Amino acid sequence: MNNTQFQLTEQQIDFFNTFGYLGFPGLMADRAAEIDAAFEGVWTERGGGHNGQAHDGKARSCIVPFIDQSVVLSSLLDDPRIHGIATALLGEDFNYMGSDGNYYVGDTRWHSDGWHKQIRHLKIAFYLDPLTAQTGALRVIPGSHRTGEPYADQLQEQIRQSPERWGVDGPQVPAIALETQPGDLLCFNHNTKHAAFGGNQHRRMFTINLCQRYPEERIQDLRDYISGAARFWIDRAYGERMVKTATPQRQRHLEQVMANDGHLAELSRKARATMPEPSRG
Amino acid sequence: MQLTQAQINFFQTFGYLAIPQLFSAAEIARITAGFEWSIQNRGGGLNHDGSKRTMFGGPIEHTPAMCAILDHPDILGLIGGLIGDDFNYCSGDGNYYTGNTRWHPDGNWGQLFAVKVAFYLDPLTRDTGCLRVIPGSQDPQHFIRREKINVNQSEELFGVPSSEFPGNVALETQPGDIVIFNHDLYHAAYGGHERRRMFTMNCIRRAKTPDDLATAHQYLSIHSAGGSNFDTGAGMFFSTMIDTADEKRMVHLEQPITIHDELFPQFARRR
Repeated sequence: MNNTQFQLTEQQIDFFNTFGYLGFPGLMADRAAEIDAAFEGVWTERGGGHNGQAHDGKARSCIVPFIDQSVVLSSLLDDPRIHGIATALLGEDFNYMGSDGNYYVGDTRWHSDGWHKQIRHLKIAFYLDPLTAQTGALRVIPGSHRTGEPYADQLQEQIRQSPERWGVDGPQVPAIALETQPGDLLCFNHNTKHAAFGGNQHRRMFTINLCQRYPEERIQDLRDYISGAARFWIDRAYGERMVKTATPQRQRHLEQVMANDGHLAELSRKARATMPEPSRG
Repeated sequence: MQLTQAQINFFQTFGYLAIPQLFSAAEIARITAGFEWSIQNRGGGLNHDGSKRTMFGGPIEHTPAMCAILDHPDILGLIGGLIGDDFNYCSGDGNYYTGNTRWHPDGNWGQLFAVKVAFYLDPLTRDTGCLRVIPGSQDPQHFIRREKINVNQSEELFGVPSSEFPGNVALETQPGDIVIFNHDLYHAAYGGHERRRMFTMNCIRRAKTPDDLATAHQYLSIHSAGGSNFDTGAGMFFSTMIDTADEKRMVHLEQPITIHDELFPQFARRR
């Protein structure tokens, strides 16, 4: 594959638009070892787990923003494959919207990462261990991202109470499991319902969040979204390494958020005063 | 059997419901024997060579024991719980299937009007011909309906084989399991062998309004013996079903008989 010319096919774009997710088996295989090492390096540098403490296998450990902690991982934003996916699905002027790195523990219940009706938000997920349906692979409900359609709206309303509403536990909710090997890439619309079941106590995964550039008349929506990062006790949306190593191309994907995260520090200060620890997700 | 509200909600949301072991091992053994007798003696099964599907109408209407499936409390509870206790039984089909069944809905009614109860008599997995469904596709606003997506062309459209259409669910079954689904639900089967035994019961809501009556007429003009220009000798149903019916069973037969006789007087019962 010529990575400098990576483009999605019309079929792939139609697939994503229709079903709300897309898988790329082996797409990042040539960087899998480098990514794995950088992932572990960040955790080592940050104490091995959540909030500077060692990961204890009892609760999810989470670092936000994640790829910003590493020059290597920050460069994923410049990788022609990531960049190609993002531009095809979000436009040339897409925004980088932060990232999270995780040691997951056990199940992740059904949820969406958002319910955006105007601005498309995208999550690109890297799973660093082989995962099957029974060991924590990402499960998605195709078409569940389509706000305003009865099926998607019904799922949005009811899926958090699947045992009470439908008589089935999370793993039995009709869905597809996207089994992965290291080097695979998955991406999905933030609206898409997703979950994982049967994962171990140390399931390694990180994501990159991206979105369409917000039009000026929706800047407050962008600021509100950025406000959500206060629960992670961060003062700026991006980490220093991400910003310092930004090329002009990358800078284009940072500038709108950097121009609108000035309120984050004060919100984080308040969060520190009321929360015992930064959020785990 | 009485469905829970959660089961009803599941059916309404996803368009289907699977009930493991609705029938006991002894019951399904008798049903299987009744099916085999029926298809062998009434359904052309003797000539089945595996090259194409063998199908016959009214698979539960040829022996008194098979007819009694319509009296089974759990079947009545299952169907009644979804489309009303006074539902209409509208025949069905019995099959030796061969190979794949491509994606299709059985109807496009745009409402919960008709259901299919499916009996799979052999253990089936996703790769050996079990029923696959696309959850939610019974809804007229579901994206495959709204955008008129040809599910059987998903290779050309999306680069994935139609057998792996995203989101499809394979309902693996053991004999005794029952699946019921809205006729509007897209369904298929892949990888079946050359003698996959399966039969169905079709049921519709009892028509109580002029609109429902018109829909019932439309339904039976197609999905009935007369609609297939087939003479059962007794109109809508084979005679055994009617002759062995008590009052309770007749609740489920009388309206289809009346409508069928109106639509196809030439096939009305004469003896």
